[in-house]
Amino acid sequence: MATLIEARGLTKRFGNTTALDGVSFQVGSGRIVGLIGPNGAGKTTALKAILGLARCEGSLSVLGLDPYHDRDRLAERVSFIADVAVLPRWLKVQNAIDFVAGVHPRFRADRCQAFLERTSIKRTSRVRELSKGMITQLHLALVMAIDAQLLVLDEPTLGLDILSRKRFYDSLLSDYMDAERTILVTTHQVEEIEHILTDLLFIDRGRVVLDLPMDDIPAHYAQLLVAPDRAEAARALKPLGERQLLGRHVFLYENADHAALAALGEVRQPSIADLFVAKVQGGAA
Amino acid sequence: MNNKFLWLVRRELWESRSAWLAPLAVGGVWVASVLLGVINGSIAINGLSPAHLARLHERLTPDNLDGIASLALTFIGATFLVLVAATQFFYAIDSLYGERRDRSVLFWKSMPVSDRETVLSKFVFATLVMPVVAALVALATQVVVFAILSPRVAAIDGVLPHLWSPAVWGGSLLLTAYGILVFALWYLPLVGWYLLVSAWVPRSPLMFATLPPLALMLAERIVFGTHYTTAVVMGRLMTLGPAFGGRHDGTDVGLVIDNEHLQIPRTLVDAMRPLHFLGSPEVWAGVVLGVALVVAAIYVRRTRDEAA
Repeated sequence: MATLIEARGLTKRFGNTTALDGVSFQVGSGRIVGLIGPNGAGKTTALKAILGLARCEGSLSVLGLDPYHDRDRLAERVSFIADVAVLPRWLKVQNAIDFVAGVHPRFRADRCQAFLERTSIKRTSRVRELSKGMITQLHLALVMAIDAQLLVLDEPTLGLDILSRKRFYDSLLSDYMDAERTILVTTHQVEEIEHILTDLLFIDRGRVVLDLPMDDIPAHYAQLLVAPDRAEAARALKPLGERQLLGRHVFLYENADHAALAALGEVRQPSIADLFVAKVQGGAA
Repeated sequence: MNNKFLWLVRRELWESRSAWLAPLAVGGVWVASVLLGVINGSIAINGLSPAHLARLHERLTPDNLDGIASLALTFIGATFLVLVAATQFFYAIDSLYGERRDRSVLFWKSMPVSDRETVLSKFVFATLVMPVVAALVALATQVVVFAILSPRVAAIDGVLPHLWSPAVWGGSLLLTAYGILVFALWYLPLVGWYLLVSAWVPRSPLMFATLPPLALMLAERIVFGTHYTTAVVMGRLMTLGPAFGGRHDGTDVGLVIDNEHLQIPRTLVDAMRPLHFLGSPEVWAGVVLGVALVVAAIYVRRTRDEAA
């Protein structure tokens, strides 16, 4: 597995606020990495640094290049959907295809057409005439037809209904993803992308708080559901977080002894959302 | 690379339809009003109605007639020039601001197109494509207007050939080509300024483009009691500088007929001063400033952090 992105000590300050505070991580090829964090955690800043749109302190290499310095060379091999609805509203669908085909050497118009044929988007429409879901479909069709090594998605499904969101990720998985490609995605709707991710990267207040392949979660994290009378015993095992659910106490443990947990109650694999809450907010919620 | 640039310029044509819609509208107004004038017989060329011409034409030399035809063409062409100055302003002022306002800059930046290529495509669009498109529509308008006038003019013996004289039309084309060159060079600092403001300001680029020069002019007047900035800015905006010479508008043949004093224009082609213009430090100082402003606009678009 080749390393596609390598960040070391990435730091970015805006005046008094520190958006990124010495962030280090690696992303290998063929992975789908979820970059997850609360609002203002530095996700977008990190993505902008990777895309070469913002300059950061520290060292950052994407496909072996310095993204800020070599942005023009990198742009052919890295695609991104930054936020939703950034397609200009005056643009006609056919013109969008023609333009990308004209300026992007790795774009395959026939693939884009094939994606669009499965939607109800008309070639003659302007973007302003399309629904939000259709605009996202169009953007995805344009981006998926680019033979890029890295695809960066920043809240690609924000504001879409659940059907459109599901369709978006389904297309991404079935039509785009293969061993040669890498996807880096941020979203608030973590539970919806849980099943497609291969890696998790939690970021909070400019720092990486979790960096783990999905496959390693069961080995390191466990969720325990216990009756109220066992809560004290569960607390003694030093959980990361605790909350109450339908009269039971729910604890989340890191690197805990499974046998000890099982003796107290029901042990489950935590969801990303549970893990996120425990890691980022220290179980305060 | 070249092909890519062509796509960028085409992109501007898709977005800024006013580049060709506005000239078409002006051409339409010309054709409609001339058509109307011919129908109710009130048409006049530079104040000379066909009836006028019929009375005068034996007193006019062939040069005079050529001059009248030339000035009619120039007059039509000049309305397009004024139009381009306006559409160019509104285009350039919005070109790099509009993409930030609707956030489409994030889409354009996801394409393998450098900031230099993007800004240059907008610069070339404003300084060359818009004037050339307007000039083509102007030419079509001139042809149609003269075609509409031809039947009326044909009634006057010997005038029609002047309307379609190769010398008249050749001169007009030469004037147009020169006008595009002058326009591009003379207004280069203005376009550069519009682009920089458009790339830079957080909001209201229109205000930011106009207020600082106005404030500067006012400040100079109040503090020093002088008007140098006003002279420079107004000279740039309101005139074409050293592009034309001789009598200021090329009207130099006075003629008195039937107690009427007529200025029969000599063609503006004679007033062109290409060598004087291209040798003028005023022009090249503007070009240098304009290029610096465009480079600054590229830098601002490149380094501007969209997250901030």
